[in-house]
Amino acid sequence: MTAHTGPNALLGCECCGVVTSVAEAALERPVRLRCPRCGHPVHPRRPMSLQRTWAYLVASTLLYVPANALPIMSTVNLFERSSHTIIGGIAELWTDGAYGLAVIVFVASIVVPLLKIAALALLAWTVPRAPAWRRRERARLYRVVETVGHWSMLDVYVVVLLAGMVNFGRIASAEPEPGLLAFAGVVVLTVLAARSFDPRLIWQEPKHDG
Amino acid sequence: MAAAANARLTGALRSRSGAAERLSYSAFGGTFLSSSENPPEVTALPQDLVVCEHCDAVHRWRALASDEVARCSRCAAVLGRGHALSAQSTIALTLAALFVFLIALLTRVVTIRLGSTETATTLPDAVVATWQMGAPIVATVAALTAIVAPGVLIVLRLYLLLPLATGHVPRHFGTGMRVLHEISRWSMVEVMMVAAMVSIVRMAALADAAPGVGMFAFGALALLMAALETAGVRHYWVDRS
Repeated sequence: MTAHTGPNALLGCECCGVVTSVAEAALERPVRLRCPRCGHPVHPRRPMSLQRTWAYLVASTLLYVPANALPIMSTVNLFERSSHTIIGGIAELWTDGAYGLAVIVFVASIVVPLLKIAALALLAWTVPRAPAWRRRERARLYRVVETVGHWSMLDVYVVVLLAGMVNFGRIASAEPEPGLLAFAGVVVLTVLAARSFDPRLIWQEPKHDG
Repeated sequence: MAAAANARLTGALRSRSGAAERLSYSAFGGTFLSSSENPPEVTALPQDLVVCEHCDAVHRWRALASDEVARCSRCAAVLGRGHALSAQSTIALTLAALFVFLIALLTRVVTIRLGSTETATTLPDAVVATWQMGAPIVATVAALTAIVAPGVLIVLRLYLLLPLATGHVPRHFGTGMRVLHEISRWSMVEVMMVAAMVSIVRMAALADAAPGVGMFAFGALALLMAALETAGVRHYWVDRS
């Protein structure tokens, strides 16, 4: 039995799920608490959640511009060298008659990154400013962002596969271009932004500080 | 699979109640951190409680039937699923995933013919080619998310599950579970399968392309990984004790 007095908080471990009871006095001390079962850090909120989320969001928004403006791939054949942007690749699929794939790539490469940035910005913005607004819907929005986020890696994989496969020297080849690095950066940074945001902030009552 | 692994809310005990019974660490079987690593005010509670990791609401577990899904009463996030997979079927699925993963890596994803030349590429070849063409960072990201992360997920699951099935607790169990938790979001094999389809169509302008065994292997791997993901890993903690 512990000797302390005062209120306790119940914390769930994000990794193994075990529920621990922690004296609120212990949470205020600058000590890193660990889950007694698996050793994962336990904290009532992910540390510096909003600051980190905003930082990743700003970085991914900045990278989003070169990711779309610069070519992500160039192809070479006997007669010409041509560069392809993300939008250009989608247009090629569409004109080739692969409408289904064109829509999938459009959603994965254009819609998902924009939706992620906008949704996470909305979530991070509403936590301090509109804490009670549509909580269940915001919670669901976060779960959707978390689930679909990694699909934007699609175009990165496509270029990697094409670079490996179309490799006939001067007759025909495909090469990655700098835009791809920016695009991969957007994907990784938005996944990190989603991981930094703590959905528990949505449910926090305004009187608690976060 | 222990019934206690599955849960359903039976009432919303709100958080921040300190009323629940306290247990010492040793009540869970002895592999807990020593109390010197945590202040004395940190106490593990009985395993019939579950805190929603999305909103902090506290619920009480109860056994779930195989098709039931427990959702949080406050934010509707999934708290747990009742699943029909026994430990043996999970091992079988994981072994299947291992073989399919090796096939996906070692066989050609796409075969291309240009005139009389025919080339075939596996995913590791494509990653190496990308690296050599001056995009090492992109090549690394692709290798980590499509090769390393799924590989570690599969091997680690086997490392943890096989001893558990025979009643042993593998060494470094806690560390393994934490790695599994951290790495699961970085495995993106299902995206790779769609990427292979897209690349075949994109390549049609340059050369004749046909899908290889590797592409179908990635499709099968995506399904197997999804099934394993749904089955979850948290109940390993309960299976262990």
